Amino acid sequence: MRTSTLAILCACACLPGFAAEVIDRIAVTVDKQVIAESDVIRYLRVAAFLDRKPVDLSGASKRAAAAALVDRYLIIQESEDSHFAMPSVDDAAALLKQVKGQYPSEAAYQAALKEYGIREEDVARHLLDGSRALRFTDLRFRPEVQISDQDLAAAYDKYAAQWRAAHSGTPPSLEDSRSDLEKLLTDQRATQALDQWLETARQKRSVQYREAAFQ
Amino acid sequence: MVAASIPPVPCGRRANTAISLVYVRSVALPLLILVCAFALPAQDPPPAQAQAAPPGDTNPGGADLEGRAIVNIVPVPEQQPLLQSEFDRRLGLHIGAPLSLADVRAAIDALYATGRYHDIAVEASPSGAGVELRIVTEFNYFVSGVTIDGAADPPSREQLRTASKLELGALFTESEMEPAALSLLERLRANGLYGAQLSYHVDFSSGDEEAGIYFRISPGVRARFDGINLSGTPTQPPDKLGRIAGWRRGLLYIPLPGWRELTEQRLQSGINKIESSVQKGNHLEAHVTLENLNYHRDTNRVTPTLLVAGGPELEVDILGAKVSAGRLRQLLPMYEERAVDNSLLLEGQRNLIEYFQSQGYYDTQVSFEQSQPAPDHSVIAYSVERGLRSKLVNIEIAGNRYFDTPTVRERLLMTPARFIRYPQGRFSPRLLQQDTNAILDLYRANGFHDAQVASAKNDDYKGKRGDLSVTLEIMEGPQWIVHSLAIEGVLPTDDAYLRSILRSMPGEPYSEASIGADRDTILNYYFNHGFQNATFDWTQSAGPLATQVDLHFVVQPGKQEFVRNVLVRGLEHTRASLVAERINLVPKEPLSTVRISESQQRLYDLGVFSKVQTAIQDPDGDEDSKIVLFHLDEASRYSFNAGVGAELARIGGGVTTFDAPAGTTAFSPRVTAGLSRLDFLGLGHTVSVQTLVSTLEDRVGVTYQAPQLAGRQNLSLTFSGLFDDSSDVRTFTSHRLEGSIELGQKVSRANRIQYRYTIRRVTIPMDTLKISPLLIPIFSAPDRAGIISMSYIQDHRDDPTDSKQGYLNTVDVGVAWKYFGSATDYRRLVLHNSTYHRIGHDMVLARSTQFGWIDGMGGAAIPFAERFFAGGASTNRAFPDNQAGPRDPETGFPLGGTAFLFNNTELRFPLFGDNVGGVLFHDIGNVYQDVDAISLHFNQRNIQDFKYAVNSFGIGIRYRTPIGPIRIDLSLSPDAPRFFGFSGTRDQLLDGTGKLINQNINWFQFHFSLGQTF
Repeated sequence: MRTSTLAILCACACLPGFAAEVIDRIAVTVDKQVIAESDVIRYLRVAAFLDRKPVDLSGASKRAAAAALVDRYLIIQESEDSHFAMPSVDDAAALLKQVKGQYPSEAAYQAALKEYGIREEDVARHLLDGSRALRFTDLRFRPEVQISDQDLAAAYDKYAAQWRAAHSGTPPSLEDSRSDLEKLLTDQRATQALDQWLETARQKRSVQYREAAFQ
Repeated sequence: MVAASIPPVPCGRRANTAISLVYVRSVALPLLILVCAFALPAQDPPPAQAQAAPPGDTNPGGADLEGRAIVNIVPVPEQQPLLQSEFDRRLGLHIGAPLSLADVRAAIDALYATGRYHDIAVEASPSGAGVELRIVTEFNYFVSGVTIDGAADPPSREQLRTASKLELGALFTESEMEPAALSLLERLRANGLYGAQLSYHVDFSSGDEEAGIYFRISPGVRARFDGINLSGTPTQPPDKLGRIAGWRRGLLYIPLPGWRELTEQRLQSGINKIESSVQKGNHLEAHVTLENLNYHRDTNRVTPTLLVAGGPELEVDILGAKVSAGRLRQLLPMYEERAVDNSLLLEGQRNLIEYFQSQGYYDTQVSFEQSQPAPDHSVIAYSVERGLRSKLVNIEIAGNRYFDTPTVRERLLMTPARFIRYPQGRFSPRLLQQDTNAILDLYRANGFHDAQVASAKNDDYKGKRGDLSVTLEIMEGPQWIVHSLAIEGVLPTDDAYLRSILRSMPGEPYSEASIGADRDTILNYYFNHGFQNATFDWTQSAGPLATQVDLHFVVQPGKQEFVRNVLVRGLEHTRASLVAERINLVPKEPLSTVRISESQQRLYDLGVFSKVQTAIQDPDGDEDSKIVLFHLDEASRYSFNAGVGAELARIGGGVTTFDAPAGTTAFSPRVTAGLSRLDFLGLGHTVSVQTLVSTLEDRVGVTYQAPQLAGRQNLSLTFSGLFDDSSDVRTFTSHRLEGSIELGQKVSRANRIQYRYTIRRVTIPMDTLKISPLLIPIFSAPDRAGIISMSYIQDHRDDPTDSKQGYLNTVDVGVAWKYFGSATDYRRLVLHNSTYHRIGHDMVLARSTQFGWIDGMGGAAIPFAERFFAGGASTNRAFPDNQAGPRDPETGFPLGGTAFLFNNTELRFPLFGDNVGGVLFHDIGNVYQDVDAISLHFNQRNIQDFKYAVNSFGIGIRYRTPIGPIRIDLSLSPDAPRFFGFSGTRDQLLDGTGKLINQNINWFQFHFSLGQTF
C-alpha cells in the first residue's frame, strides 16, 4: 500500500507542467535517525574530492554511500555510548590542513571545492567522522586482536610465495618482516571484528532504505 | 623489509606504501575514505579529466533555487497526521523566507522525529521569481487492535494475541503480518487444531493512522490422541500410561473407551503425570521427555512418542532424629526438583537445621553423606545432632531511646514461647539476623545512620537450663537531620506544592528511604502531568553541624506531552457513550499515565469487559500530543452458575405437627442455579435470575443492576423481584412476592447510603401455622407492605471478612404507609455498631451491638412477616436459628417480636500456625414483644417469661480461607428459655384437648458457618 501511495504521489508531482524537482528526501533511516539524499550526495562529492575522482551519482554508488553512512552512524553512536576519547574538531582541522596542502594555492583549493559543489566544512566534517570511526575501531577492536607465532609464520609463507612469484631472489626474512606482518594481520582481524559488529548492529536496529532515493 | 614490493596497492597510488595498507579489506567506507585521505599528501596532482562529470547537476537539486523566496508551501496529502500548529513549527519553512536547503534538511529531520511519517520528500518548482514547495509525505500506521474471530479455546484469544507479537499502539509494518500468522497457526496446531485455516486483513484508517488487524480463524476439528509410543526404559504399558496421563477418556476414575482431544496444556500435564508415576518408589531422577508428536492427517490423530529414562532408587535416611515422610518431602528440595545435586543437598541441610531450630533445638548440627551401594540404588544420609532443646522465653530490648520498646518489638519475628501456638517460641540464627536488620532499617529510615544492634543469647535464663533469653542492645548514635533542601529544575509553583508533600524537608530526619519516597513522589507528580521522561537525581553535602545534611534534588522534567485524542476500539455491543463516560482523558490536557490506569480500572469495574488494553500510540515518537488507545474485549454476555450444598442445624421437626418447636437437628440439602445477562442493551447493566431449591426454602429472584449509574462512579441502581416460599421460621411457612428498587450512593470510601422502596405481599397458609387459634387472626392475615427505607453504612474496618481493627456502624430506617401501598402502617429502625480492637500483637477484641424496633402506627398489630425473628449464629448463639423471643403460650413456637437487642463480645486469638484461630465469646440479648419489654434481666422468671436477656458463653474455632474464615462455635447457655409445648394434633389444639408439655432450648448449641460472626 505504501509503495502504491508513494508512486501516486510521485506521479502527481511529475505531471507535465508541474516542473517540480525533489530538493531533498529521506534516503535511509536508522531507527529515528534520517540520512537524507542530500547527505548521500554530499558524501559522494566529498569522497570524490578527496580521491580526485569524478563524482559518481549512479544509483549503485548512492546505495553504497548510504550503506557507508549507516555504518558510520552506528559506529559514532556506539563510540558516544561507550565514552571513548574521540578525535576533536582540532584533530580534523589538522587533517584538513593536509588536504589543503596538496593544492598549490588557496585559490586552487577553493576552486576545487566549488567544482565539486561542496564547502570546506563538509570536508572537515567528513574527515572528523572518518577519524572517529578509525579511532573507535582502534580502541574497540584492535586491543582484542592476538597474533600468535603460527599466525605470523602462515602469513609470511603466503606473502613470501606471492613475492617469489613476482620477483627473483630471496624474499626478506620473517624476522625482517615481523613488524609489518603483525600490523597487517592486526588490521585484518580488527576489520573482521568491525565487520561482524556492524552486521550485528544493523540487525539490532531498524535500517530502512527508500528506493526512490536510489533510482 | 618486504614492504617494497609485496603486492600492489589497491588504489594504485602509492607503490611504496606500508604493507599494512595493502591487504586491509575494509568494508567500512569511512575507513577507506580516511585511508585515502591519509594517502593524498604523497600523491601527484590529480589529472584534469578526473572531474569530467560535473558534480552539481544531479538530483536532489535545488541549488539553483536556493535563496529564492518561498511563495507557497503545499503539504501532500493536504491532511497531515500532525496538528497544523505542530506541523508548521516542525517544518520551520515560511512563506516569504528565502529557500535554504539546510532548512529543508532540518525540516525532514524534525518531521520524521515525530514518528508519524514513513517517508518525506521535499519538492520545489519555480513560481515567478520565487519557489513553491511541496512536502510530499507518506504516513506511518500504528496497531489499533488485534481482533481474532472464530478461535476455539484453547488457545484463548489472549494467547493468540500474544503470539502475534503485534502490540497495541506500536508501529505497524506489513512485514510483521506473515510471521504473526505463522505464529498463530503454530499455537493452533500445538492445541491439536492441525486443520485450522487462517486469513487476515488490515484496515487502515487515515484519520488517526490506525491499522486495525483482523484474523479470521476456521479452527477445524481438534485432533485426538490415539496412543503412545514409548522408548527408553518404561515400566508400564502404553495403555496404562495413557490413563495416567489423562489422555484416555474417562469419567472420574471410570475408564471409557477412546482418547481425549489434544491440547497443549493436556499434553504437558500428561507428561508431568507420567513422570510423577515413573518417579514413584523414590526414583527421583527418572524423567520423561516428548521426543515427537506424530500427526496422522488421514485420521486427525496424534501419537506422542515419549522417552522414559528411569533413574536409580534414592533412599533418604535421617540419622539422630525423627522426621515424618511428609515433612521430609517439604524440607528436602530434591523431592520437588526431582533432581539430586550438591546445591539441593545443601539446601536440604539448611532446611533441616531451620526445622529443628523451629522445634527449639537451636544448636542443631546437620551433615550429610551420599553413597551408592548399588548401581541403581543411591543413599543420602543426613546426620542430625539436635543438642539441647530450648525454649525462647524472653526477648530483652535495651538501649532504645528514640523508639519505645513496643515499636521495636512490632518488627520482630522472634517470638517468646506461648501456650499452644508457639510452645517453644520462635527463634533461629536466621530470625535473629532478620530482626537485627529490621531494627537497623527502622533506625536508619529515621536518620540514625550510625545505629548498631548487638545481640546476646543466654540459654540459662533465670538459672533454668534450656530457657533462652535474647538481648538486643541498640546503640542509636546521633540522628542526622536535613538542614536544607534545594530543588532544581522545577517551576516555582511546582516547588511550593512538592515541598508540601516531600518527606526530606529541613528539620526532618535524613534517610535514603525518605529520599527514595521523595523521588517517587516527584516523578509521579511529573508523570501525572504529562512529563513522561522526567528524571530525578540527588546529592548531599555536609551541613553546618556535624549531623546536618544539605540536600540537593535535581529534577529534569523533560518535554510535556498532551492528549491529542482518545481512540476506543473493540466494541461490538457496548455503547460507546458508556465507555466514553469512564475515560478520564481530555484532549489538549497533559497526558497522565495515572488517568489512563484509572480509566482502565473504571472500565474493568463495569464488569462487561474481559480485557481492557491501553497504550499510547507510537510512544517513542517526538510529538507534542499523543493519541491514547483503548482496545476492549467484551466478555461473554451470559454467565451461568450452579451449586449444591447442605445445611446441618436445628431446623428439623414436622411441618404440620407441633412437635419440636425448638427444632431438631436436621439436614437440608440445597441446589442453586443462576443465569446472568451482562451488558444488557449495551449499557453495562446486568440482568440475572437466581434460584434456590431446598427443603426449607424455594426462591426465585430476578435482579436488574445498573452500576455506575449515568457514568457516576458512586451511584448504582438496582431493581429486584423475588418469589420466596420459606419455612425457615419454624412457626409458619410463608409465600412472599416482593419487588424493590434501590439507589446506592457511595459518599466516600467508608460511607454509603442506600435509598429503597420495597413492596411485598406475604401470605401464610393457615395449615402451616403452629400457634394458638386465638392469635391467628392477629398475625396470619395476608400482609402487603409498601416501605420506603434508607440505610446508612459507615465502614471503617480494616478487612470486612476478618476485621482486626476499626468499626462498623449501620442505621436502617423505614416507614410503611398506606400511601406507599402498605396494608399496615408502621415504622422500623435497626441500629448496628461493631468495634474491633487489637490486643497485643495478634489478639482481637471484637464486640457488636444490634438494636431493632418496629412500631405499628395507630396501634396496628405487626403481622408475622414483618416481625423480627432472630437468634442463631449471627445474633445470639444460645438459640438455634430464629428461635429467640416470645413464644406461643400453647404450642411453644416462636412468635417473633417488635424489638430486639443483642450484644456479642469475642476474643479472637491465633491457635495453630497462621490459619487456625480460636474464639472465646459471650452473647447476650433477645427478641422482645415490644420495645418496652426490653430487659437486661438475665434469669427466666417463669416458664412463660421471655422478657429477659439470654446469655451464652462459648468457644469457637476459625479456619482462615480466601473467602473468609470457616466458623465452628459451641455455646453454653444455662438460662436458655423453657417453655410450654403442645402434644397433640391440630384438631386437639382447636378443641383444647391436647396436652401442654415442658420444653426448653438446649443448653448447648452448635453452629457451623462461613465468615466471622460480625
